[in-house]
Amino acid sequence: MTRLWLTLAAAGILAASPVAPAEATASLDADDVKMSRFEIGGSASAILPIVSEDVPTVVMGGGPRVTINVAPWMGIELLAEALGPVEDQGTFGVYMTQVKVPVSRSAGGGRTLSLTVGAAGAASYQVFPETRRVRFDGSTVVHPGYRRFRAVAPNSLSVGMSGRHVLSRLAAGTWDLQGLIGAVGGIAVRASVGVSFGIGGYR
Amino acid sequence: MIIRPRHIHHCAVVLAVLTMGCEGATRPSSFVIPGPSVPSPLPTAAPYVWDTRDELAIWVENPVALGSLALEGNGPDGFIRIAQAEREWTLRGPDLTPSATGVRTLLLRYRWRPDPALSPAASRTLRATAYFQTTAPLQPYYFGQGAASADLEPRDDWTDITLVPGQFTPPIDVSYCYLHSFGANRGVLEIDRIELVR
Repeated sequence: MTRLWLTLAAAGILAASPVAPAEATASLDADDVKMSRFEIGGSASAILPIVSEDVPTVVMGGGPRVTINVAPWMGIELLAEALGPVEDQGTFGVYMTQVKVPVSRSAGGGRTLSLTVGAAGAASYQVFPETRRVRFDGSTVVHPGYRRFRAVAPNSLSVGMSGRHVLSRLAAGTWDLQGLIGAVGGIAVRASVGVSFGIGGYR
Repeated sequence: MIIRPRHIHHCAVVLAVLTMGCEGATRPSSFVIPGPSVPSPLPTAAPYVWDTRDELAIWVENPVALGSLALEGNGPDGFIRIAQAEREWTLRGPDLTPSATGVRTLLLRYRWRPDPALSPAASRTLRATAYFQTTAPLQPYYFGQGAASADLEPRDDWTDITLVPGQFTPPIDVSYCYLHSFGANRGVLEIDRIELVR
């Protein structure tokens, strides 16, 4: 958990960093849309394993996303999605850290197409109930219930494209189409749609 | 556009932190709620043999013992009779104070007479298991009891059998021991002597 808090703290420091005036108002096209330094949102996704040890099954997911645009030419995106259905008890999910590099923008800057490269890892949250076993001598072995959060180090490579379409002053629609190679899904395709809200607005 | 070195440092910190896994849970320790105690009316000391009626009565007359158990005979000729061996039964030995050290297994002197009316294809063996409550865990974080088992073959005369240790490596220190069987086919089992082998 300490590492998780470190992660959040680092993200907070990054977001709260003072920005040069030229950056803060950097307009992608000196027209309508400006760069929002910090975006929060959510997405719904589907992951289709193409090559995996198990029978390929589409796994649906959804969760929050945070984008930190450190420069007009690069953003860092963190997202976490709960996946389901899964056979085991508990909540399983995937988290991703990816770098977004815009490769194309519309004239007004309202539509952006980005190349994404990142790493993904699996996470789980499980609740284990208390179990008791009564032995033949009348004694009872008690295994107390507990909850466990586990996140493995990123072990999958993610490469793909991401699009953003500014819908209003505060909201933008997003989509992603990515390939995953690694422990998360073997070789899989991930598609998602979502919405982002730019802190400070897009216009 | 000005890219400050600090931005690169921040990115490096974030990415470095995110490349580490984490686990947030402390699994609470398991524990055992003791069962009924069986104090011994007789001193418990080496050689840890229960042979007479009074000694064998300790294994039968306690709150843990289970099954169709009866004591037969008197004095040194006393023995335990389990008339309905097809049912589950338990014999609980006395609490050993102090605990018995260097125990390797358990020896039974028994007679086992399956019902003559059983079909020729019916099994005629009876599996009995001795469980040893040790004074220390057999393995770290392991809460199981040491167990030793044997398949008793039919015998009309008293026969000694040494149970074979299972998942533990002798010797062990034992605070009490009990015998258990899920039952066999119909028959009568008699136990004349119980001994901790050291």
